Amino acid sequence: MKTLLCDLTEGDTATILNVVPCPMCQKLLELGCLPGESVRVEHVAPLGDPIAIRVTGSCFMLRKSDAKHIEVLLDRNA
Amino acid sequence: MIDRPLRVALAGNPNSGKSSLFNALTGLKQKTGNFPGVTVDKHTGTARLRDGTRVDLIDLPGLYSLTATSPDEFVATSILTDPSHADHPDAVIIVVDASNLKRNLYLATQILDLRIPAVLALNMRDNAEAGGISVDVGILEELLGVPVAAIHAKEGLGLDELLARIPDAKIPAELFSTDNDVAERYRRIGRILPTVQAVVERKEGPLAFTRTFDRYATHPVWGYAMFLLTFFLIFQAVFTLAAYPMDAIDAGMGWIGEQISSLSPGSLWTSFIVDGILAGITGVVIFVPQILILFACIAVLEESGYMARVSFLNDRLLRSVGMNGRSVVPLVSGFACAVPAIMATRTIENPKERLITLMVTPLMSCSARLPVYVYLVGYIVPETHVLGFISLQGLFFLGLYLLGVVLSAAVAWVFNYILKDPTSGSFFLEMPIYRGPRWRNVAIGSWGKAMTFVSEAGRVILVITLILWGLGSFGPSGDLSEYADGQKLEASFAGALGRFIEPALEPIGLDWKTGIAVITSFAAREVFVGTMNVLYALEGVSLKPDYSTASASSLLIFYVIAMQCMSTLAIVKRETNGWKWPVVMFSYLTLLAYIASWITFRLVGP
Repeated sequence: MKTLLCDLTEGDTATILNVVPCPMCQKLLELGCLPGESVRVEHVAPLGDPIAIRVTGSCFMLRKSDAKHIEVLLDRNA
Repeated sequence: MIDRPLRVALAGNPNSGKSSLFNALTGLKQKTGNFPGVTVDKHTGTARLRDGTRVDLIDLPGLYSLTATSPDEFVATSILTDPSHADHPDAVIIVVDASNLKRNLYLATQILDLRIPAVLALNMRDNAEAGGISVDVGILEELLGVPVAAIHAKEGLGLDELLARIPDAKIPAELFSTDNDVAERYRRIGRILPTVQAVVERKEGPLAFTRTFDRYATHPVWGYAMFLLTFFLIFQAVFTLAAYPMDAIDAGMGWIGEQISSLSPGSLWTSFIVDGILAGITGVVIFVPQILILFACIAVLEESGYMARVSFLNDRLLRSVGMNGRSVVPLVSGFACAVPAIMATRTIENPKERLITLMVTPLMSCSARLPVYVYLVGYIVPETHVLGFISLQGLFFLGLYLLGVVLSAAVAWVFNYILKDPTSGSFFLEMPIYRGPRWRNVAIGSWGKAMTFVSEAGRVILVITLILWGLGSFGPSGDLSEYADGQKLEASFAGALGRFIEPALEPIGLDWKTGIAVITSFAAREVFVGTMNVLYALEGVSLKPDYSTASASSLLIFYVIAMQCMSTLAIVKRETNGWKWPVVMFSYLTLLAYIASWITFRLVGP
């Protein structure tokens, strides 16, 4: 199912399809959010935002306002 | 041949062990300052190669790539990419975390493509091995075309080999990637990775513990409980633990002052040395224990990785008023003392979010306000208990603290509305795996902070102390040394100033004597109590002024808000690189305090 990274819930794994152009998209790509990479939502903060994701071997947090620029394909049996 | 020591920069990802390596290489032969024009820490030091050649080392702020989005990153990238930069290195040591080779090589290959002679320091192979990955140093060296030295920065292992290879630093024969495309560079890294590292066995290693612990650390209940407990302990440490060395400094300086006074009692010179210079030095040194303790606590939290979780928990709330998850540390520390708290805003990368945090931190009721609150509370709230055990005065104190918090949120909201910054709004922070703190980094880091404070904010504090001493020691009629303490103050310039500002104090229910105390307590809020005791001393007994409830309330509210602290102004000047923001801070807080006092005075009524 195609969705956005910001819409995933804790524990979901997905494959990154695309990072749409945005002020921070270069940064997101360089941190390892590349199309084809597998991403896992490790934690969602108690107030629903930010989220902590694991991608390309490291875990970092980002706000949903940035995560909405990342299109992902949700893994089926995650 | 260049006629100066070889200049070598340390570059690498945040959390790659770069600072540990820097500390291990330089030991105590290092200093901390600012890069010119910006408030980014500049760490420099020296090391010696085996043949005795001196090497000047500079520890660059951590980078993920050469695309800079924060002042720290701009400094690091401009040093690396601009050959005319004053700090442009002759060679660079690229620190690479072996347990996350892919992302670390992204920056490493970007730096290699800058054509600066380089050596790679492969760090944390133990972490990689615990995660079931082994890295082949020889193949990495062959594929990248630069020397690679395996090190263990935390234990100080492999340093000799690294130093031995610095003279071999070289520029790779060809560019790693001619394309400036992120995906392309990662693709090339992906191609060499299978030859460089082998997955010995699939295991989670240290990650398993981090995942489990984080389930609690980010939990809606346990997460906040853990956060509150941790920060309560830090607050206690800064508030209570620091009190012992602070009392000792006070007593020690007091003793020295007495010795000097006894040599020539009552003379103007004695007063200048004791009440001017010595008081100024005390006023600077007194902050050192709090700075050391707070920054040691912060370093332990940073090093262990827990700080990132604290930011994660609190980011949403703080963002709504223009700050971010990292603002928690300064805000909480502000309850103990604004000086170290404002120094701690440096960890906030975004300039706007940092400035807002810095501007509202003085609204947190610091420990120096407590003596003033205690002095005034009796005029307003009786010493009774509700429900038999809850002190009404205690509740009132709590209310004063909350007032500061509420005002800080309101003021932050206003600053957020006024200040414009297109880079704010995003917040990326790595959540590294948990690990033990490196005590050496903790010690060196907090000592550096204390020394920076003494050398840079100290001068301003000393000068203001001397000005305040002058105001209290001279008067329009000249030398006042004949007078007794109380009359001396009344006849001094401070007294004249108190009378001068009386028309402004009248609407908030205060007289010129209180005005004197307000002026002198600019040295530090608690001085208010001492000044009042001197002013109202009668035959050696200190009485208290007969404030009405309304006047006392108005004065109390003034002290909750007003910027009555020269040390805070001095550190704000240092942390914002100029007088603009300290002036803005002083003006807005004084104005806000005045308005709030006026409203309070009217509301409580005569």
